[in-house]
Amino acid sequence: MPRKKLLLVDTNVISHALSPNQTECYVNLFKKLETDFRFIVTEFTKYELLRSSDKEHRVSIEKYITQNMATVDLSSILIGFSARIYYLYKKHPKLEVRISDGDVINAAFSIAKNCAILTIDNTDFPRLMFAETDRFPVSYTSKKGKATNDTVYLLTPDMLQIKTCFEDCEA
Amino acid sequence: MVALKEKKTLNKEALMEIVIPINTIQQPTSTSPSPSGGLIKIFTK
Repeated sequence: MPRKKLLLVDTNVISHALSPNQTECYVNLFKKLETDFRFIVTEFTKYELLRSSDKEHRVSIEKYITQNMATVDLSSILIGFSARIYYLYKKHPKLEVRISDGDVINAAFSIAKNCAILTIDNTDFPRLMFAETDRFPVSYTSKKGKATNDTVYLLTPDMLQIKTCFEDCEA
Repeated sequence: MVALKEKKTLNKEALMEIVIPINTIQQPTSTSPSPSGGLIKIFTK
């Protein structure tokens, strides 16, 4: 059996999946993706999820992630490369983007491992550097009882384009 | 001139060289990890 590919899951996807009114649709989406991918998150994503949760939820979220997904330490190599990505975003004339540190770290890991990213906000990853390879509609009823439709995106780093961006800025 | 061109190509490759050490990736602790199954468990305990 071929080895499953890595799939870096963005904070916003897990955050939505952990909302009781959205869980069912994310169970279905994750089930579909699990056949081809191994889910992975960075420790920064874990931090973003835990920092806004009370003690009971912190324990459940930590257990859920630790048991079911691989996690990436914030090693000096990853942080160093993330700094270069941040510099690139700031300096490149076609990358006028304001992106959070968590998304910069996710982008750095995705590029370093050449792996796909699952995100609900495709503006967190510049289209010049990340190509959309698939999209999944997610429908649920909001907490206010309104029918809601979101789109979850599967993005992959465009390595050739990224190399060119690095060269343009000597990042 | 040719030599310069070659050097530029090599540098371009070097810019992207980064290896994430395998020991900085922690594998899931479950013997049969399932992000979908785990989600169901959270809300049915």
